[in-house]
Amino acid sequence: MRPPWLAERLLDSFIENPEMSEDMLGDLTEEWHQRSESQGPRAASWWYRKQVARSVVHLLRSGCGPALTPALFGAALAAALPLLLFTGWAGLMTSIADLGMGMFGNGGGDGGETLPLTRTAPAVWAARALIASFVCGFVGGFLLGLLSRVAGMVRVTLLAASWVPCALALQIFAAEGWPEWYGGTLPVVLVLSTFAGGIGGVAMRWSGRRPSAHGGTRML
Amino acid sequence: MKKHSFGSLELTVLNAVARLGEEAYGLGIRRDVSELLGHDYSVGAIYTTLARLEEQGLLRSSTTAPLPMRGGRSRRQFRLSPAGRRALHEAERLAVRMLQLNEAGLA
Repeated sequence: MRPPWLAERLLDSFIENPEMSEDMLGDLTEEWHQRSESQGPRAASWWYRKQVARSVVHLLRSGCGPALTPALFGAALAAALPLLLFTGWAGLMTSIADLGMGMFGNGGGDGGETLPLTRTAPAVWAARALIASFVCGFVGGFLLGLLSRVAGMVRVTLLAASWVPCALALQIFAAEGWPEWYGGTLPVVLVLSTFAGGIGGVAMRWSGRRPSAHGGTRML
Repeated sequence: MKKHSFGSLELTVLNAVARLGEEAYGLGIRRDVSELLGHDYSVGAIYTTLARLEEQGLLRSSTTAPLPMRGGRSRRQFRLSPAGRRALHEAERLAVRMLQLNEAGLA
């Protein structure tokens, strides 16, 4: 029998200092064994999960101060990333449209058929922008979760939070006539996709250092 | 000499480290502090406080050999540094002085 594996990894992903991670997880494991003998493994695991949940809140609160500078840097990057992606994506779409028009002609001359090109509705553009934002947020969160050696979820949380002002600022550049729902949906999509990607990245990192069959949980 | 100002948790943690001796590691400190203050502190709250006190030079720590009951992890034991001992004495002196003033005011 051993403590809940998922809760253990979750706590580990919120601790900035690897030594502190070892100390905290060691203490929790030791107390889990003691409680497991006196109250049973189920009660001990419940206690363990509760400790992890309370500690995560505390670690996030205390970790936000020292991490403010990286958070601001992350916010600047987060603002630049969607702008770059949007520009690249819009450029690609324009090139495809130009290529299509070049291939099929634009009407007139030598009996060429006119392609029925219609102006795309703003709602469709908004939906496309949301999909691009989802991909952008997911990839950003995933890479951050995967590449962070310690406290991946703290960084993912900061990135997700930094999307909100960026998404609100981006709406200054939104074309006139875009649907009203876009303004409220964009930050939500970015935050959720970042979390989804971050959890995926952290989980993939965890899967690479699964505990051994001997029950040893020491991480290298 | 540098003056330190403490919250009740920091002071209680320093006091626990001074009293617990060999048992002054995270688990023992958490139990002692929780019992004394009547609040079940999370392991995260205790360790961030310990880290802060160590950063201020009031605590020192060393690790033991890996222990099986900790899943192969070592135990970090804390002890007061000379600065920590002075800070604790200063806090005790202040508490005694306040008590004396209160008693004098009530008499």
